[in-house]
Amino acid sequence: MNMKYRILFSILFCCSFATAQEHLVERSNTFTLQFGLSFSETLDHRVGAKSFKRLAPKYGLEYTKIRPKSHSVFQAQFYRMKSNSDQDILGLLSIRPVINYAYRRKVKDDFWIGGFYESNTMLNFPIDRLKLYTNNTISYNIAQSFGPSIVYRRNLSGTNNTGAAFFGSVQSSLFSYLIQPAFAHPYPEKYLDESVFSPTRSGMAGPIVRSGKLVSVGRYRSLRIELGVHFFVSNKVKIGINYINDIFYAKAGHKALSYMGHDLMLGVSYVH
Amino acid sequence: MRNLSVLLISLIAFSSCSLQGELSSDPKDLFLEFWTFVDQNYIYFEAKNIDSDSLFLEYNERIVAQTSEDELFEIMESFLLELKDGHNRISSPFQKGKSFDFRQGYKIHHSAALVKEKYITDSLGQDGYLTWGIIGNDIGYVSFPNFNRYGAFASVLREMKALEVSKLIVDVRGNGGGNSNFVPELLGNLVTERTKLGAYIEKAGPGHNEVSSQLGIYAEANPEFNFDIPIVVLTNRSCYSATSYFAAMMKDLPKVTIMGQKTGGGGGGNMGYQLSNGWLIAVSVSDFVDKEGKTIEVGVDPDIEVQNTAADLEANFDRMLEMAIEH
Repeated sequence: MNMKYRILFSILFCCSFATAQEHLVERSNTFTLQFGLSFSETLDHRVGAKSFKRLAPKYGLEYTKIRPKSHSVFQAQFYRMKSNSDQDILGLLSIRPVINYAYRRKVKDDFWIGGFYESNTMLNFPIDRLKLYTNNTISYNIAQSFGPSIVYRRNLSGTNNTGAAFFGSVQSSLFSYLIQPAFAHPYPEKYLDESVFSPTRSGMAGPIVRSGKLVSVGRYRSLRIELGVHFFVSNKVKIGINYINDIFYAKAGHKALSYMGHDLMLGVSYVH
Repeated sequence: MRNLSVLLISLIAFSSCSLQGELSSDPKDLFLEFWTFVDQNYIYFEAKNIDSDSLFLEYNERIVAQTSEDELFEIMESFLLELKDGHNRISSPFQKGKSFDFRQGYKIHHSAALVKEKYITDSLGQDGYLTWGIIGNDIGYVSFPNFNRYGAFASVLREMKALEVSKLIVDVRGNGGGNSNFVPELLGNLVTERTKLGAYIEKAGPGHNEVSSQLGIYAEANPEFNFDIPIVVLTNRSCYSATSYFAAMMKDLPKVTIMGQKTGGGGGGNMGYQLSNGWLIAVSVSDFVDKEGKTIEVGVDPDIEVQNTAADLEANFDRMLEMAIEH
């Protein structure tokens, strides 16, 4: 299903919950630790034409601030995925830290609309028994994105910090600063300059940062849908289960990276 | 209930998609995928005057729907061999492809054991893959069998200078390569001012002419030490890749003479890629050019040509080393 139909489906899905609700007045700060599993597929054209499907643990922490008129969430998530080179010649180790901050304003009972910033880094390391990837040991994708974000929350039972609650959120990038290698060997574009280049690969950090391109949805697009149910075990502690569907496509130059993940996360939260 | 149904439908819809799509097993599709990667990434089409499109047509004609995996592998292997590049490779889960034999047509006669038994009068040391000693009374000798773990070369230079050798013979015959990235730093011990050693050129886009500007590599003079004693570098056709880089960087440095056979070349830095059927290929995507801007892909010419014969070695005579000693 392509991206635009996913976005449309997500919005319609969230709207299906838009029935008259008991007014929810909340003021809370919630800190959550998360652990779960991520099933993902990665297709990195810098590494090859074959995608890698992997299951890996995922870790996260989240800080949510709810006020009568606003809803903000800071999330940091990390996963390390590895496929071995047992059946195929090539395996892939991927490391992906993601930081996401969203701020929304209340527009209607249980609906908040706003925007988000996300730092999405994906490092792919081919694992090759024959050492053919000696000179391209890494493929990197570093994206700083901005875009709109919608969240919906609804009590399923109880009120305020009791019982159970559902939430759903959707965000999609509009503009991004995207950093990928220049073309063949994984040097960034600004490193291919005599005054900077070194065969020992020293001094690459600054050129990597300067090599990014400001792109819109034609070159970088992402969609993140999160659905969750939380249960309050006391008025200070809740546990929750979240499903996250996370996809992105990145192509700063000539070689694209696509990623799709389905995550199931368990979380324990402290509400104060 | 309605909302739960919508939830379940959306989860199923989102999870059923795949990024990859249906992979073609048609041999012609796989060959096109293979050729597209090579065509867009291989750096030497222009330098070697190879018509990539004609080569594609010639080899694509050999492929039909019934072409087996083994046959397709041989076709791709043959295609890569046409590029005459020892850094190009193809492998599948069931076999490893042949590499281009850069030694073909050259007579190469070399014996490290002969050097050790007959010529080294004082064996001084070994570190990593480096070994060094003295020939006769005052000629230093250091052997580089490959370019890995050679950091001790800097301290070997200091030891040789302290011993007041009259010349140093650096023997890289038979050295098939390794990692030359740290050679410029070592060569800072041989110069008294910033000296250009050559330049890298990287593939910058899919067009044959889309390459970076020349990225000059320099030796920065070491202010604390300078090795100003004559050096003779011995090369033969088995010298490949990092060794050719080394010979090109050393050439024309003060008091350095390259002696022996033209090296095997191998100026390319390669890059790996996995085809959609799981086969791995690698092709050269960067080049190294010497101080005059000439590619070293086809070899570095010595300043003085000399080679051993089979009869020389049978007579326990290393003609190349003897000439280096006399030089």
